[in-house]
Amino acid sequence: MSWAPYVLSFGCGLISLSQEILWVRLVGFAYGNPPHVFAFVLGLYLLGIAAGAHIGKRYCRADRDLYGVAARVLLISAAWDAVAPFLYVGAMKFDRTVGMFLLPLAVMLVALFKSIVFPIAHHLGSSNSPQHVGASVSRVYFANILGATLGPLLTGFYLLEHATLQQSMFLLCAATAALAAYCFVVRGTFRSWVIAVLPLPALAGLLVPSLLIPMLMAREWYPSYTSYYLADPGKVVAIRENRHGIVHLTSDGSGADTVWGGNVYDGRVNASLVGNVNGIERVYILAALHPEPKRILEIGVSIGSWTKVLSGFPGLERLDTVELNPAYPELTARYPQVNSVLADPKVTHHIDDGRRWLKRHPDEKYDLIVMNTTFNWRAYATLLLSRDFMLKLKTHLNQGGILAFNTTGSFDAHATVASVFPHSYRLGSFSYASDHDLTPELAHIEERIGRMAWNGSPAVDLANSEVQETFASMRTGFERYDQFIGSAERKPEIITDQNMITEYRYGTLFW
Amino acid sequence: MVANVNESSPPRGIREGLLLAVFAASGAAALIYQVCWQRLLFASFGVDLESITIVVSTFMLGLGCGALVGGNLSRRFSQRLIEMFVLSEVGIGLFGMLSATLIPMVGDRFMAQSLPVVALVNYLLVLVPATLMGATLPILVAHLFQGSRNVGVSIGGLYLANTFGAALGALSTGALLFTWLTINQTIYLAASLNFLVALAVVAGLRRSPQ
Repeated sequence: MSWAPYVLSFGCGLISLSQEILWVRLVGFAYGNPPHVFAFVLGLYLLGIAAGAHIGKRYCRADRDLYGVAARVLLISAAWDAVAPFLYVGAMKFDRTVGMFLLPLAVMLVALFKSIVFPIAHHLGSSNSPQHVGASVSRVYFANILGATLGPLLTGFYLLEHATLQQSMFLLCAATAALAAYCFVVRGTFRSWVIAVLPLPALAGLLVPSLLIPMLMAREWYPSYTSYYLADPGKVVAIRENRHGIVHLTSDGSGADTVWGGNVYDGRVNASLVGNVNGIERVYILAALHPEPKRILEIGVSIGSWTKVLSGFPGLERLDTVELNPAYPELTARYPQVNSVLADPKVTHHIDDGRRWLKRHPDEKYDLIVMNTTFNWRAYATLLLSRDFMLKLKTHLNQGGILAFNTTGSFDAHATVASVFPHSYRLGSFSYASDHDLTPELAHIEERIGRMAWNGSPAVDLANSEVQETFASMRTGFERYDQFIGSAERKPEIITDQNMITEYRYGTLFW
Repeated sequence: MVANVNESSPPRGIREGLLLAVFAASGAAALIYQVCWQRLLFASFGVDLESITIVVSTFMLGLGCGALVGGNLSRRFSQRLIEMFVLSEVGIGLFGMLSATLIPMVGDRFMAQSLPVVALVNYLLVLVPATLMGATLPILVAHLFQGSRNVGVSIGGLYLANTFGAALGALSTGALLFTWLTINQTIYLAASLNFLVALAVVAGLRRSPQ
């Protein structure tokens, strides 16, 4: 029995599924990770596979040198693997519409070339006996599926943890070239040194400076969301890529650097009410709304500006933070404005999914639960904004506790929290919800926020005019649900895990 | 049954066309399930790359196991290929109907467990339907091969139909179905597709001698 068809089938499955994960990440980064990206790339990928299988079938019908065909197809595939990401990213940089039109071609061809080889591998590895054809087909198919199973595991757990997206793409390109070399050797017309030589150009690509991600960092591609983004975010000062995602920092020279998670605005480095560029008053007000929050849970930390503010609340005994991406605390360490939270004995940092962490700690109760939630249209935002999750959070609140989270302007999110808590309010994009009326607490803004301190030093200078203006805006901007919900353009709906309305029905279509 | 088709059966071209069409529908249902199950599993087990990777890879492994099982069955029961395909589709549909309540229920029970336990539970959840999905390809290839005698041609056509359907399933779920339907409603739609596929195959072959 020849192993070559199985190696071909396995290799194509492994490389192909690995590349699918990389393209989902690349396209997701380009568009800020809207929910449609996964299905869109998957669909394009499958169309490419279908077309490739159709073409490969024709080769099987003719009496051809099939290993030679497979080798040449894989060589073309390797070349396209190397070029396609740069073509796509370059097109996006040139014009977003051009990039959008190029994307289907880029993704489909990546899948197409390898899937041409799939029926060829079957033809080479399958029996022509009617009694055994099913079994032989299943073995070659199994080799393909085994590769397709291992591919995501290797790429998701190892490759993306230790290599950048661009490096990962070049490594898989080299793997495709190596598979082509293997076919040449099996065919018997090339000597074994070909195995070593063919992947070399692709491996050399690992030395190409990182271009893909920096080229996609242009925010002017989001005209419909310009209000959320900075006109000029400044120069990139740090990029962290790991298996959880891509985080980068930009600096405009003001010191309040901007954080981007998955290419979407994720806050700024500022914990002060003076020079407040990030709406930090939305967390300061919590010090006034709760008379003495001893236990606080923060889900989603980002660079740690909010954690820094919360750590200064008077009477705080314990602050638990839950953040999915370990790159954030690494970056927090760079900034003296916020890095004290990493060593604060009252603050405990957990790297985990918010829902899962709560499930693992069913008995933990808090006076405040704070979530600076990402944009409501992004993939999986539902899991933090749904009524299902709000009900869960409610069980983790002490009596008199407050839930505060960022609706990012969604009236549906306000309506959802109002369906769970009897009293809810807004300040800017934030919602505040509790089991009791919070408006009387506004009388304590100056007194309670004035007691905030970091290492014994007051967090706020009450004599500062900017601080006093902020206090005034807190009083006037804090609105009851029934006062503002009437200004919604349509009747707000309840977000559930099942309907995902902020992501799909009312979210943004990236095309 | 398949090997003994006589004049009263639909012409071979129509039979093959029917099989390709239903296999495309079957592929569409499979990818609708995959997108829906990923969503349910994320909600049940937590969103991070481990969950995503585990779901994708266990789905693929289930398909691979199904390929082996289907290949073995097609050899042992070469006269019952169409019946096995129909049963597989009904099984996928039944599990699909069940999955809407089963996955959240199991997720609620195991979410707090360690990563290996979560991986194992994910695998077990997806194993049964993915195995049935994987089994359908070698079964139908064996069936078509009885007509074409060319493996590459048989598998190429089926693979094309199934994958094209799968692509439509994935694209329509992301772009259309989730806009107007809940996750469970989308799952029930996919299950209906499976039952329709089974019904179409049975109806299409109703004049075949037993």
